[in-house]
Amino acid sequence: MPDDEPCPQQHLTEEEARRLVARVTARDPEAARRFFAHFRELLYSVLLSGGSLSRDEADELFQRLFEHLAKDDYYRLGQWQGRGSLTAYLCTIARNLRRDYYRERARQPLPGDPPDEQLPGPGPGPAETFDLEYLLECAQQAMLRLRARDQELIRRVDIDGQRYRAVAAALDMNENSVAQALHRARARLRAECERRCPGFAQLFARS
Amino acid sequence: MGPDLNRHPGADALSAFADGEIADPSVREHLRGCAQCRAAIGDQRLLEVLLGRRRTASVGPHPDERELLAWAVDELDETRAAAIAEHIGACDRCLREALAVRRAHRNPTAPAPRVAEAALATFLAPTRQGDAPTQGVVRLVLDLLQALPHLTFEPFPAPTSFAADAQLSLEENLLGQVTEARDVAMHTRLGAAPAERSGKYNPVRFAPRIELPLGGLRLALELRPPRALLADLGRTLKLDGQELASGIAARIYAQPEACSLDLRAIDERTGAPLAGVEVSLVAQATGEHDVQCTDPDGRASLQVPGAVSRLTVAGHGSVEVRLAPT
Repeated sequence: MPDDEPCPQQHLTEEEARRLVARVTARDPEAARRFFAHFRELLYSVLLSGGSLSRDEADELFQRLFEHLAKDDYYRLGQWQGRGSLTAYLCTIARNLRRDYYRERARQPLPGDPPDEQLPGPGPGPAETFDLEYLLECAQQAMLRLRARDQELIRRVDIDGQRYRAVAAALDMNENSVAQALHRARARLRAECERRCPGFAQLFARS
Repeated sequence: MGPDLNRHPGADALSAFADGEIADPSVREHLRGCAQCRAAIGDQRLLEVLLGRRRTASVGPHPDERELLAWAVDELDETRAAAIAEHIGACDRCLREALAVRRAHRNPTAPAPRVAEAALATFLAPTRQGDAPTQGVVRLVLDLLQALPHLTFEPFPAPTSFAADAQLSLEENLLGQVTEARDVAMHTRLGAAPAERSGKYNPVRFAPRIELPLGGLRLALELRPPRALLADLGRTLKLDGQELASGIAARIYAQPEACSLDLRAIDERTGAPLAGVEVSLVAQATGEHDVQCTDPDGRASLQVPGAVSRLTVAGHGSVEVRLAPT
């Protein structure tokens, strides 16, 4: 990352998040709009991330989520109280709502459904299961595509957990060189992973 | 004075910090405020997990979900982040959860919610403590026309007559539900006299359950599977065979073959369930229909026979039900 590049301002610092939530719970409409604009995309994506909700259902849950947050004078939002990550707190609420919805759906089978038919539960869907195995396989395959030196560095540090000093001694390098070479090797590994598996790029910061 | 967030540590230094090779307090302090550098370290940790560095560790108890998700979005402090990485390296379940949220966080590429304006309106108008719960009553949300570009809505016709109380109570019901969000999507003026009932209604989006006053009874409608009902004010409603100047039509988005409409008839005045009320859904194109009588609890479940159907409640009126093309 370039040393002189400014940090993106699209994230909220802890202090900004605390101030924003305080203003929302004090019924400041401008703050509520900002809060909504900041989190709507993420929370909708989180609702859809399980893979077994239709878009209509996600829309319904999205609506419920913001009802839930606004209920009783933003009681649920106010419960965050500045402890921990606000993003994680909201994601947790979204996922809990989704779990509740799965349970609700399972309790109310559609007319005509066989009585013992199980509707999809809150566990990972086939897409997620496939994704994980595929990602792990891609990471392994990408490693094999690297130069031997890069593989050696990554294997020693990231897989075997060796210290830089031990790696430097084993590979006849100095410690600073290990840090630099390792960083470059990891960048090449990530690029190779993303080349082999487009899903990889979705998990990492944009290059 | 806080750390200078514009002066990032070098990439090598960040890597070394994440590897535990350096313990520079200034880097730690920078990371507290810099999401970009936290993300860089998070990327490195995730690669390590995926490469299997920690996958031989014992699973141990699952972490608190908020900590797990904070790890997924790179907002967990360094001391806990290592412990979480240790766990998910051995626990596929937590790794999957973390990856799902991480993907949503890093690449929120989902389509925009179609109810965004309605959700915002809800968020801007919090219920107060002690307000009656809305669950199970009418869940009414608003939607903007641009969210549904495939629909066209007829302009609100000039009211000429209002022949039935049902129409009036419906309007009052709607207005009562959207009072707090009226400035967002409804611009309506309702007066006591019919001549004063005018205005332009924007489309109003209902959740899968709505209540519909109809000719002296209240009809609770619920679509299975849950889909949105769109009430399109301004379309024609026939009540006891008489066409009203304006009315309500319900659009239901679902596949006909998988769709049923559950309903419950309730006496509007007493609130008691109405048994033996004949309800029918007739497909406009084919004439295919489903007719049932409500049970002692006022309930009936009808298969929706066609994309455009008419729901008729014998002796009370009818509404048009449309299934949108997929």
